[in-house]
Amino acid sequence: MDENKNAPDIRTRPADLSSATDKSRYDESLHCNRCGFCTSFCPTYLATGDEGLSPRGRNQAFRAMLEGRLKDPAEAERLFSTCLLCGICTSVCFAEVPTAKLMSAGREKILESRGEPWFLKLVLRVLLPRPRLLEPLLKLAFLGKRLGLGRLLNRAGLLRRVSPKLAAAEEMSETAPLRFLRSRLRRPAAADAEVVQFLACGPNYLKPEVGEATARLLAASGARFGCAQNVCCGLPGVSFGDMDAARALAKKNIVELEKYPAAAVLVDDSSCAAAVKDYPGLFETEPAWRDRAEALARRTRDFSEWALAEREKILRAPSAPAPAAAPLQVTYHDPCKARYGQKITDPPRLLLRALPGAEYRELPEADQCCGGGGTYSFVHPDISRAVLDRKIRNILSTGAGTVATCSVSCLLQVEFGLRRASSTVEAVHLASLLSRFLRGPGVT
Amino acid sequence: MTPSFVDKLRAALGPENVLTAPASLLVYSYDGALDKNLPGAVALPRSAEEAAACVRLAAEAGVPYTARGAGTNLCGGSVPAAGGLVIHLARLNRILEINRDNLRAWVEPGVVNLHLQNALAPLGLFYAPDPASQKASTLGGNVGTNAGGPRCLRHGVTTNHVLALEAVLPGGELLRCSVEDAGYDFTGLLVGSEGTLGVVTKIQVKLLPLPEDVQTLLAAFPSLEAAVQTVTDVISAGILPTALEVMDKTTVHSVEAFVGAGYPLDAEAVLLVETDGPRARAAAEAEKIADVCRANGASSVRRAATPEERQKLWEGRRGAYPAMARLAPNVLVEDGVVPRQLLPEAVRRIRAIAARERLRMGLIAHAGDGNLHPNLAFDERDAEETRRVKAAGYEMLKVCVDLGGSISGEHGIGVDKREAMRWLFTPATLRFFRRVKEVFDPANLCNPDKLIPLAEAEAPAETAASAAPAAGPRSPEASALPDFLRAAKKDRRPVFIRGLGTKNVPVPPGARLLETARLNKILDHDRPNFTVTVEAGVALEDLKAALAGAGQFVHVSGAGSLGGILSARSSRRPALRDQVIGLAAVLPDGDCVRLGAKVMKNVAGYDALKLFIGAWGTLGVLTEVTLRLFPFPPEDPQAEPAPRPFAPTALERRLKRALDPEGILNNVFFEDGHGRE
Repeated sequence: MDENKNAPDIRTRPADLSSATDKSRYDESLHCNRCGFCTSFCPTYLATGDEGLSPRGRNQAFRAMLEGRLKDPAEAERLFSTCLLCGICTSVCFAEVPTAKLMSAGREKILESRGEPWFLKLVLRVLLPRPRLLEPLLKLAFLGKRLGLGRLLNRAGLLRRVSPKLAAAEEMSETAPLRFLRSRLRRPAAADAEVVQFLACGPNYLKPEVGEATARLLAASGARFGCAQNVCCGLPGVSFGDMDAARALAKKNIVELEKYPAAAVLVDDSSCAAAVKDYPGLFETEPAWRDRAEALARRTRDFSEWALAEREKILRAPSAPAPAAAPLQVTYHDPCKARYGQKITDPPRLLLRALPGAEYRELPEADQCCGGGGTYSFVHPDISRAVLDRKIRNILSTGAGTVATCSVSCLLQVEFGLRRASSTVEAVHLASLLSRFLRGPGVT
Repeated sequence: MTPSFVDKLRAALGPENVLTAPASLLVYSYDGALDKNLPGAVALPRSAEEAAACVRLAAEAGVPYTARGAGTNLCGGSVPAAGGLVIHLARLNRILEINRDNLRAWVEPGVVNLHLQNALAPLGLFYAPDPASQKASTLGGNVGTNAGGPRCLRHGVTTNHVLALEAVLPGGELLRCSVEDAGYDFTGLLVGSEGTLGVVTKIQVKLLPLPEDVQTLLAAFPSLEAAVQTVTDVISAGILPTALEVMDKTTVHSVEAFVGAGYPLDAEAVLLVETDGPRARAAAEAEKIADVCRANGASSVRRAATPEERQKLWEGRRGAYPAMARLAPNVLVEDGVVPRQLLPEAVRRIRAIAARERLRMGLIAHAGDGNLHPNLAFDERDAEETRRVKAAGYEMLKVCVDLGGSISGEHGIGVDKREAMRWLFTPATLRFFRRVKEVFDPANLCNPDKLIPLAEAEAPAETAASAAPAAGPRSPEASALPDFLRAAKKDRRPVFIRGLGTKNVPVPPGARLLETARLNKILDHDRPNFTVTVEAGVALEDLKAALAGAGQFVHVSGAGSLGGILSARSSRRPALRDQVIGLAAVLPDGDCVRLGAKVMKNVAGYDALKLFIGAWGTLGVLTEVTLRLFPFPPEDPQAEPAPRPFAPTALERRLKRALDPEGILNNVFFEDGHGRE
């Protein structure tokens, strides 16, 4: 058979690995015994019906790669890069195989095998650790967008010709703020802060109004609080498989946040909250850093966890009169990094159910990803949009006028999907929504 | 596989829907267990038409092909054993129609079992087969393996719920068949054929109304025997629960360490029973079941009072496999079936094998069906351990065969158990399977190398005789039949079969009369197993009289001999095809075939016994029939007024010609018609 010149070896055999991290990932992959029960939950398998784009297929390819059964590791690239890293597969897996983690490791192997693209390296290793370099560049790009340059290029089909990914990105995002959250809040935390607000990139650069809402809620809680001078949480490094870049960013943040040793670290983007809580996993071979990462993870709070604990201080009571801005019906989309990354499902629902004047409606298939996945939506626009269409159909089926979520990546993706469906349903960050129900003078 | 074949596929399906990259081929080389082989290409059709195009192109190019659903099967059935093309049907995932009035639905083969359940539940309906893989496995795959599940004890397995099929046959023609058609039951034959006879593209299933109430009990027993006796007593008391699940002590201990469902650790066996129906009936049954458990020495009986408690009780049963999956990278789930009351003996022998081979094993059983699953933990990278596990699994299947059972209750044969088929079936029966396969797939391209052991390796007659069960007819009257038919074949003399003559059909001129009235013995009434095996000439009235004393009933109606009723399919409701679990027949060339066994669940080999029901004696002379029995009389027996013979389709003619080239047997019925489309 002529295609079989590059045929992979189908017989399993023990892998010969030198690195401790590789050995751990390999052991984890072995526990996939190919039962296939994950397949019908995986958003990319549901969208494509391709075994290679299922958790089982990805795990088997990863294992084959480590066992040296693929002629070229890059053969698995399509399988690995199309994983949304949502984690639903692990939640339904009997052996709890951590496929998302394995896919990051797989991407790392592929980067190692053929060198990291310069652009990715520039972003992950030069710009993200240095907000002072990153922010002016972003502003320049956003200015261009505001002037309609991107749309112009897109309309002329030029952007697509240069890079379909850029074209998809341009089409997706509507927002391009010129003042970032960092400068809007102007409120650096003091060493004795009780809560520090982590400047997550989404709220900081794309949706500053979310961070402002969080700050208002923080103020209402009466806690001593302020902003951390953190950098990116490192999740893009984990996603692209540049674990060194992720570790460098994590270390910077650990050092920064240790300046407020008694403070809870409030992260109003579930993707970043999960990333910070996952820091210990980055330091499997550096015990000292692992201990520091664990200490940080213990005091890190996802926005919804914090808001639920402070509910009575910050929000109107369920029996209070409804504010004018109260939505009639609201549903909730779980960010995967909350649902699977942090096992958070109840807090946002308890918060929404207790809002005066609003009726909460559960979203069908709430366990499914929206297809956002950070940059995924423009790296794999076709799959992302197929996954999104399903999400939007489910949102519309609830009849709710508002859909809340807790991650800016999800928010942008759902907004995009609603626009495409010409829907009038409002997508909103949970912090923004809750800020409409602030408990204030005269309102209890 | 040639580049031009792949090019044609790409042209037909679109280039992005044909995969040939090495990593893509790798992930289509396996199923849910151990068998592996690399395909040459993978096709992802989006419609029945595209699936049909794949089959036609493969047939044209002489490329073997294998249809695949979710690939959760456990015996290599969906592994491309001969390489070639994998036709992955996951995208044919539409529920085409749900008819609430006549309780039927049409679905595509890629619909996930659970997705159908989710669509039905809001309508107050469900689809009964619930294999453990139901969250992922597809209905096409369920049809291929004739999947069962815990609740099939009361409701039956897939074949009892598939009413009609549409399939692309290996020659490229479309077959539409229904269980209501006169003639050979191709619907029944295709279910459980593991995709070796064609590629199913549409399925019509039967739906049931969701029960008003569900009752769940968990009982602990000091011995496995006591638990199994309880199962027999529950059924004898006239209760057919939806599920009767037994777990052994090892399983309970590993499950408790894993999920902590609160199962009693001191028990030798734990029995989980579920029954459903109208609220009052379900509650009364649960009460009765609890009494039977206590009467058999149960040390504790817990009854779920709320849906949450019910979930909790099931959690342990559901955790049985996961608990093993965490112990080691691989778990071999073996699948054997024995007459229900022999479960303790089967378990004793199976445990001895596991102990001798130093294997970690947990045992669970769908005890109501006599279906047991030894779960063996191992690591496939250890070739020696893997070999021992596989050999032990095989030996455990042999135990089931020795006890009168079968080598698969619900997983199928695939490539894994092909050799074990020789223990179960006589060479003549295996030859019969091969002839059926040839009628459908003369070029042997449709999922080849599955289900049937290779003819070239046919064991010599003497070893086969010692391994396989009684090969020939069991009475002197029946023993004369093969020679009678061989002589007729030689002389090309038509033969006319007559049972008790209740149909008043005159003997055609020139035909030799073959009377079965003297095949009138009740061979085996297995009371605890609720089965009876009779010779085909036994009158239904005589059988009913013989069973009455035992408080057991056949759900068959009509007059005449059982062979006659079966051949004319004159008892329609409840359907005969759901009650006949075993059958022996003499084919026109004198070959004696023996199909099925006295077990409730059996997916070994083609479900070819269904071909003889309604065949009007045109394929063979029935000599023995095994029926399942019930502890209560039929609710609404219905006999068809005057059954009429059928006019054969082209496919039916092909099958008839393959088995009876001279057309000697009961051709008067066959030639009666003028061809059907």
